[in-house]
Amino acid sequence: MRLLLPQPTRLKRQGVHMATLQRQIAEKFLAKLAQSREVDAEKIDQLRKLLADQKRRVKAEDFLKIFSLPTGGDLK
Amino acid sequence: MIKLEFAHIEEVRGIRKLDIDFQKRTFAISGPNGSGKSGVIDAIEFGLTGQISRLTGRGTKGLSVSEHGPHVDKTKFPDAAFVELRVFLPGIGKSATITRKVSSPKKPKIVPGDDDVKVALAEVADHPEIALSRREILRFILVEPTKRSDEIQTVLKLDEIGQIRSALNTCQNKLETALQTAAAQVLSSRDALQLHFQISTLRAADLVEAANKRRKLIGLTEIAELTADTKLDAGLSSAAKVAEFNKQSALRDLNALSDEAKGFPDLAKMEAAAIVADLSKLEVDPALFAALQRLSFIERGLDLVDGRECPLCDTAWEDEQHLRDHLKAKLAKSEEARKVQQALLNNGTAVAEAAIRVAAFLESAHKVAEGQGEGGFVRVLTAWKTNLEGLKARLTTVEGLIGLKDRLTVGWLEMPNVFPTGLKGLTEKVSAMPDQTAALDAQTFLTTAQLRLSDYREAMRKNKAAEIACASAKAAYNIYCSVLEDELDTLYEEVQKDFSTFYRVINEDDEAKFTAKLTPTEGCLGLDVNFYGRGLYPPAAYHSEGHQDGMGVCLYLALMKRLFGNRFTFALLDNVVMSVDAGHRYQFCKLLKTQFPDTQFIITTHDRLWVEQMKSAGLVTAKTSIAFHSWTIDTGPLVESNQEIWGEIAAALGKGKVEAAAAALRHHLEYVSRHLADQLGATPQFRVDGNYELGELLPSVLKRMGDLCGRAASAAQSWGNAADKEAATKRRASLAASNAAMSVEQWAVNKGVHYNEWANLGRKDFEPVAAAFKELLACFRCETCESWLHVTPRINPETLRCGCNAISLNLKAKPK
Repeated sequence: MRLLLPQPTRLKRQGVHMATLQRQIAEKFLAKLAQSREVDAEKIDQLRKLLADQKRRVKAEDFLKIFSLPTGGDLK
Repeated sequence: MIKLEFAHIEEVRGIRKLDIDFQKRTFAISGPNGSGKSGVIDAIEFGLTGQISRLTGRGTKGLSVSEHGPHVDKTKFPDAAFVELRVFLPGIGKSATITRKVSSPKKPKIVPGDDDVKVALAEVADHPEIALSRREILRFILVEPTKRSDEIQTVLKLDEIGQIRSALNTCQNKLETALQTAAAQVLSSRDALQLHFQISTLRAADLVEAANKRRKLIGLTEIAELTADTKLDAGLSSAAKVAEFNKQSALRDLNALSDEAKGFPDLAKMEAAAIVADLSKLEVDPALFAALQRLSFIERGLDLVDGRECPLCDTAWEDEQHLRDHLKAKLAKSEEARKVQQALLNNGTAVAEAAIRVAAFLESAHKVAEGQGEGGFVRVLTAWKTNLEGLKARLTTVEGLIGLKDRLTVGWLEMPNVFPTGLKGLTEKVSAMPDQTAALDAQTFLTTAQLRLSDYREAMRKNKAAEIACASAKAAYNIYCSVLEDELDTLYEEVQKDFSTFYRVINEDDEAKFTAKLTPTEGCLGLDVNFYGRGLYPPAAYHSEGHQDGMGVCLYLALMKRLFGNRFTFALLDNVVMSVDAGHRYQFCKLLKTQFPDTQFIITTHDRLWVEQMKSAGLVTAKTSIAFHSWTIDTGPLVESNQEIWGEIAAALGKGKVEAAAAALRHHLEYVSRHLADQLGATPQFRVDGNYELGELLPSVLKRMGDLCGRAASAAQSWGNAADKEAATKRRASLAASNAAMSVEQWAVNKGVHYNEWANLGRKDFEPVAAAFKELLACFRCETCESWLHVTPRINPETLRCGCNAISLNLKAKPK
């Protein structure tokens, strides 16, 4: 499955034509992450939205929120 | 991207008012140093991006577009400074006009305001690297690999990618620390649980067996299996659950704390000592200390940037990107500082884990003390726990550790003096209590067991979540780095290939086998170039400075190609071609024409001959080139053969600006005199520096023209050509009349006078002067084609003529 970032629809801080390199890296990153199974689909979806949002810079806190989302581990 | 059709510039940098028709074609601007060429580049760059590169970057501290963008006489009226550009947008096939004022550089007026037009222009605005000046070209070549990496990554807009990688790295480090804390909590809660059950290994069967033993005693059903939902005290009444004090368990907790306390003096002693040693190292090395402080301070600031105001000092920057670049530059610190930082944080985390363990023991004792009404000891334990909580937070940051040096030296745990006696008293009090009945013991055992099991389960859940979060972040970081590395390798290979190709085109005569190698490593980008087949060396090792300049331009073009692909339609090359020597100029033109046929280059150079060579190579034409012959602060660049000069002078006089009109007239006369002296073969006194004054040139031009007209009249007389005789005689008479007028008014444009006495000139004083010179210069022009007259051939001229042949006066008399 090819993971596509949403096309920009409005003027954005970094310019709407996000340099193709950035987009390529984001796409390949998300695709590889999905293959690795280290990260669940919900988190990958959140990451996709985060990386597609060019209105602001991505910060460590943004990733922290995503990776800290509950995944259902429990004591047996 | 765009192509530039037309530019109107007013009061920007050194320009007062200037219109240039760029025609969407490669365009050359020539003129001597200080004639205003770069001002045009600044203005176009400003019009497109809202920025002026020359006012930003290294060595430009204190400069800004808002303060230094307007003409120096308009700094208090930035509204008067603006650029209006008509551009063509090839991607959408539309033309648009963008008007940008220095007073509001971020709010250009765009007509038409269609979304696709705004989008296309926003892309251009985001790429100030379309402008390349000479001082910038060597930044790719003659810099350290780390800086080259930074420069190229900035041009290619890779900084955002780096930012994502950095954020992922910070995230995984934070989650790693959180996991360590969670693991420490698991250990503490497990110890408490095991202590209560008095078992050495935590096995479900043992827990069930111990719980069932008590449950059976008080008539509760036995638990078959310990599942996630199992409650060890299930079936106990609410009232029974409240009574959670279990004497034996409490004694075990207190004794365990007492045993643990014996090891308190040595707890995490090595780690604390290591922190103290690192902090001492910082104290004796102020530079390292400063680097470390900046490192964490700026890292935090960079993380908090959200807009153009610095989160560290509230300084307002031109925009967010400038602020980020500034902070990043400051972050380029020594590796040693980073190593010290990591060691401090690792040891700090180890001490924090020990603090968590102690706090867990204190918590158990706190509950017992509270249950026993030992208010004094409860306050001691509460204060100590709070103290340790605060300590834990400070142990995980460099700033926190710096402030903890004394405490870490004398004993970080800060055990209260009254603690041993308090603990002893509490233990004795509990021991002295009558033993609980077997039923009550069983009830409280189960209640406490359930509480501790819940704590353990919660700690396990948090630990599991922390493990998953940490593993996810690690995987994401590793995968991102791997993808990034692959993509950058590919990118650098392409850039390296294009760079080599472009350089070979320019230097095909002697470096046809030129190759280059870009070597990306961690945070660096090495560049080696082949020196005449003798191997790869750094560019500065053997190549001449001219060749290095050529490399800079080629690398820039390769990067632009990679960045924009077929959308690379526009670039400003400000004085960057000057270092291309005469032998390679044709090839340089060939490079631009063949490799970038769809790119419009605006090229400036002080070398007129270079422009002629561009014309010969077909890169530009007479219509796509312009020459400035000089510049003044009042007029801005003065364009050679400016057909609008009289209109401009009239406009200046209309506004009462006599000084501007006088300067414009003088510079026009300087240009025209020089041009006519050359065209007509005038003979001023020779000067080896070619720096002729108006006062030297104009009289010799007037004399030459008078002589030529006289020779033409005589020649026409000899041939019986009455018409030519009349034309030549009439022109000579006009010249003489105008000349007379000029001699009267010449003082008005005398350099020594008008620079000092402008204030004394009125409009009415100057208007006749301008009119006289206009009349005078008309004697040198063709009324039909408006070209300046010239003689041909230049040596032993035979004809005085114009560009359209409407004037063609024979200078050779009929042989007698």
